[in-house]
Amino acid sequence: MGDEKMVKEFKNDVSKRIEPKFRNPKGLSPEQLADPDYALKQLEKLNGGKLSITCSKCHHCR
Amino acid sequence: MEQAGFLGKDNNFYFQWHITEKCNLRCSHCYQDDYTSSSDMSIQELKNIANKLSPTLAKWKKKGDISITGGEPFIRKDLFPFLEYLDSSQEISHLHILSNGTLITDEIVEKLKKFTKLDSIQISLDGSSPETHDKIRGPGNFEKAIRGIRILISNCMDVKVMFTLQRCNMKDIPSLIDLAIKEKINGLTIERLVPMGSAKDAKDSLLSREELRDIFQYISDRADLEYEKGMQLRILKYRPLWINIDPNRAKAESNTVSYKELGATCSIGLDGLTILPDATVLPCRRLPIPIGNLKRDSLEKIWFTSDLLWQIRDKRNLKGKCNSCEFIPRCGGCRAMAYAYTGDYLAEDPQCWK
Repeated sequence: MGDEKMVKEFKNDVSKRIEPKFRNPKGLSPEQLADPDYALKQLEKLNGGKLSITCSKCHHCR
Repeated sequence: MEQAGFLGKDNNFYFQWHITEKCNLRCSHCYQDDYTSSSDMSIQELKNIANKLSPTLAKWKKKGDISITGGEPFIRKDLFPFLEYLDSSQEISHLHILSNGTLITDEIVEKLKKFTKLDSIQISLDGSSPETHDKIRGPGNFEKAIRGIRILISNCMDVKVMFTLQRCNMKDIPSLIDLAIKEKINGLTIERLVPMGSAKDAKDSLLSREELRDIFQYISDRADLEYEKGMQLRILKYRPLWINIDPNRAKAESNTVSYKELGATCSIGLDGLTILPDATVLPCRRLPIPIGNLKRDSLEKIWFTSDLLWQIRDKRNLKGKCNSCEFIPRCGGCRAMAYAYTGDYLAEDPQCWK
């Protein structure tokens, strides 16, 4: 219950309590650290090389 | 008519940029719960952040595609100088404004018309009538939003509508589509309510899996029917879970995307970020976990080393039925919904009916 309460408090408080976490670059490959489309390309591979569309394409985020 | 580059491959990087927390409305489902504007940046600070983004976009050989929003963006008196600044940037290709529509006047639209990169204005409509819309957004705001839409369309602006689906407006979908067609709106997105911010205790407003399935099925069928009749309105179904309606549509061999297709994976960690009024960066506005702040962290640092982004990028980390789902490239579930519902952004999408 304690954890649940904490999660509830945290998830509605954007900036004050949760500190961003960054990975040590040494644990990432050169491609992961240089290619902004690395994850998109991985997803395309997962999709048999076909175009993967993302929800950002329709500009309708709230 | 398909719009090349709009839904197909492009070289854009997307930002949803919230330039103020201030809003003239207090909608019951808002993801904000603070409207003080105490953390809003000055226009000079906003420009400084834009200046920090530009060299990285150039290095990545990408162009910024920015949706300016709030709060309510038209509440800021310096919105137009900021738009002017962005409009003149070589590193920005497209601009959009996401608004509640209530403050739009002829005078404002005259000013908007001069921005060459301003592609569309999105207006939130949460009902097809005052009875439904105003229950969520406050009395009188349906008429104001419709008036705003009409002013924009009469000035040849590209207007799209966002509808946040919840229990109290679920029966409005058929009449909403009628309204959108009648008003000559170009695009309509039906988005699920995520219980957070002002709606954090609104889990009762969420639809059951079966209710959601039935509504998505109706929308898909209706859209197909209307397209055959030559409908101009594009019902944009590029969101998680839509693929469940007709998986065969994702199996087409073509490498282009048709408006008739269904489903898209969420963009977290793939091609976009959200910037808050104080420069805090979120993976998505509805997933309120900071992954950096552009005042102190570079775009490259955030994009390449954020622990949360790498967790979500690796689809093997997804849990429950999302983990082994064949539709991951066109779905992957909504991470914000999983987080709001369970406290775990890697959990399965709680509304998936598959």
